[in-house]
Parts: sequence; C-alpha cells; structure tokens
Amino acid sequence: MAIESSPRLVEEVVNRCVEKCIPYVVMFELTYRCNLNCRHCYVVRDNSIEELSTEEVKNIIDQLVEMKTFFLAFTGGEIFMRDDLFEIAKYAKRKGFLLTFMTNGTLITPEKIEEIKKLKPIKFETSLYGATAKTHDYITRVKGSFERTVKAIKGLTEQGIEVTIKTILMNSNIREYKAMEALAEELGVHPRMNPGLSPRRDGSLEPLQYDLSFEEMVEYLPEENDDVMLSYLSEKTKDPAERFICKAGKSGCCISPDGTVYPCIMMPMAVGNLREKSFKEIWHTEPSNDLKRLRNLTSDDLPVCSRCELAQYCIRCPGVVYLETGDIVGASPSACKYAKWRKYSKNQKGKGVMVMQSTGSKSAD
Amino acid sequence: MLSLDSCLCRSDELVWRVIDGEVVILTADGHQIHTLNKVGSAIWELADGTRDIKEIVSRICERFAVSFEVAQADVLDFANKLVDKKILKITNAVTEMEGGDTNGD
Repeated sequence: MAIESSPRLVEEVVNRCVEKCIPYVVMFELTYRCNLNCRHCYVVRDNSIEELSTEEVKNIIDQLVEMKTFFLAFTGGEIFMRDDLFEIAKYAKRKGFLLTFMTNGTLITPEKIEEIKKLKPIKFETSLYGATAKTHDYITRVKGSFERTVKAIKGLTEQGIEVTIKTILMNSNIREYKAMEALAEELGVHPRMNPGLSPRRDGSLEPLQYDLSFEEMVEYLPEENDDVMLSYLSEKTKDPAERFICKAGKSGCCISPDGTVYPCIMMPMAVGNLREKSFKEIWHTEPSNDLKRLRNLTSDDLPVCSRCELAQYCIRCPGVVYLETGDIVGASPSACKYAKWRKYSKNQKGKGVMVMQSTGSKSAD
Repeated sequence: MLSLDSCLCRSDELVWRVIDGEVVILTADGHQIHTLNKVGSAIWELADGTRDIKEIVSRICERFAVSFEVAQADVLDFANKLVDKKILKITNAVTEMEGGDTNGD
C-alpha cells in the first residue's frame, strides 16, 4: 500500500519522533509580558529580556519546518501583548503548522476573532480560574479580567472557534469546581481542569502555597472524571520502564522569548540559544551535555523513584522535580503528595487508580 | 474522474513532513494521520500543481525503473485514494508554482 492510515499510526509516528529526536511539538513563548498577575504563575516576570524580533521569530519558524515540527503552540506571557502576533501566526500557517493559541483572552476583540478564525487553529486555549469574577479576579489580581475573558470566549464560540478553558485547580478555586463545569457547559467549551502547581521557574516555591492540601484533594477532587484526572496517563504508569520517562528534549521542546531553547516549558534547563546557534546545532549536531543526559535517562537512573512503593500511583514530571529540588533524578515532593492521595483514594473508594498530572500550572497564558 | 491530463495538487488543509524518507501527513484538525511509502512519497512531492499525471508517471518510471503502464496504474490508484480522502485535489490546469513558502521539506 502506498498509503497507510490506521489509528495505530499516531503512536508509531510519535515513537519514531521520540527515537529520532524530532521535535514534532514545539511550545513557542513569544513574550513573558502579561497584563495579568496570577498568583500561582510559574513565569518569572523579566522586563529586561530582549524579545525576538518578528524576523527572528520567522527565521526560527523556517528552522522548525526543517526540523519537521508539526504542532506549534504560541504561548507566553500573554501572546496578544505582541503587536506582531498575527503576522507571526499567518507566517507559520503558510509554512504549514498545526497551530495552538494559549491566552488569557482579555485582549481579544471582535477584529482579532476574525483573524483567529482565518487561521483555523487546532486548539484555542483560554485560562479561566473560577466560576465567578470574585474568584478569578482574586487569582489574576486584575479586576474585570473574568468579565473580559468570558466575553472573549463567547465571541470566539459564536464564530465557531472551538475553545478549551484551562483551569488549575487550587485552594482558591476548588470549591467552585462544579460551578466551573456548569459554566463551561453554558459557554459551550471544553473544560480542562487539573490540579498540580509547580514552583516558579526561578525556583521560588511561592506558587505552591495555592496547591491543594491532602484534605482538599480527598474532599473535592472528582475522581470519577477521567478527563479531569488525566486517566489516560495511567497507561504509562503500568510499565515500570516507561513510568518516569517523558518526551522532553526528544520530541518536544520550548523556545523562550529571547530564543533560548529548553527541553520542555516546565524545565528551565537551557540547552542553547537560537541567536547563537541554529536549531539543528542545538538539537542534533551539538547537543549540550545536559540535553544528552536528559535523553539518556531511564527509570533505573532514578534512585528513589524507581524503587518507591508509590511508583504505580505516581506521575512524576522531570521538569517540576528539577524546579522543586534542582535534582532531575530525585524525588518530586509534589508528585509524592499526589501519589499518596491516589493510593489513599484507591484504598478508600476501591475505584481503581486515579491519575492526575502534577506537572505545573500555567496562568500567564 | 482522473485522466492522464489531470493535474494533481496537494490540499493546503493539511500539514506534512518527510520523516525517514516517507511523507507523514496530518489533517488540519490534527486528528488523522497518513503515511506514504517511498513511491507514494515520490508521487506526493511531484503533486505540487505544476504537473499533470502523465508527467508524474514519467518521473516515477525514471526513478523506480518500472514500465509506463505499471507506473500509470499505480499513480492513478494512489491519486484516486488520496482524492477520495481530500488530501489531493484535481485541478483543471497546470498552475504556476508559487514562490517562497512550501509545506513539508
């Protein structure tokens, strides 16, 4: 057969990308600037950073075509803070990428919705942190942000753009979980609500003060909701060899606003800068020692986690543990906490292993 | 109905890349994936709107050392399948190649 189109192809192609270190999915942080100031955000506000120019971004997009990237997500910061967002997005569209936009929605106007519609993004993700203005605005620290985000969501859906709202479940909003679910239904959008906060990318643990306590997990987390709990990840936990291995630095990466390349948006381990080297050099021909080490990690390299009795309940994110402890092969306090809860939940309720992600939050987008 | 005079053009509603010498195609919604073998990939890369099927068949003959009849049958079968899937489009006339932007690599 000259053409093959079976469902298992997705897995095969992804595995091929992992094996050959083809970055088929790239997160492009276009700016760290943001008009909100979310309490739990992991982004470090750095106004001194010299953002890539429009032409530099386009040059990187050209390189990503050569690198065989399929999925390109624009994130930030708040992407609509960049005046050249649509110029960049249109360029990427012409070059042939499946685009995702991640935004807080507050700067979206009817004119921008028209532009977004033409770009036909495969995903349009908007952060929403509560079912009420009181809760959402408390988290974003900007009065009126809830109203503006909801207005944008309505405008987008009216134009037939599929919107996903992303919500980090934390102690400030967990009591509104059901109300947020109802709001999503009313707005006609898909809710993606997950627990799990990460430290800020400068190592500050400040965002973790908003993480759920064990008691809140037990009381409020909706274990019966596979979508919320990301239960599909539980498949991965069944195979000990694959349990703690992720695609960061192999088939996915993150590019920061100044062109620094990271293995993952949650892993502030700089592996090169695109102002100094080409993507091909950074990724393939001259990979840094850190990147080589990351790619070669196996579950056996994790002295604590590979032998942990909670391993089967654990979704350990190398990026988060790196932020939490600076030791990429060490144990992740947040992952341990959630693993304990999953074990407890299974024992208490006998509903099987519940799985959720503990890989950080994203409020600046 | 495809004929040797038909001109084939890749749909612009998809994304494709060449991985290990094989074309991998993702539909615009990212939900469907197709891979093409070496012959299919060669046809795909030739189907840029600048050639009719007759010319594509000739190129395949040269590249894979097969008879015109065999290549013609393979190309038509392949093209029909991809047109059905809306991955390839039939255009009435050979179009000028647009400069600059390309998809895939």
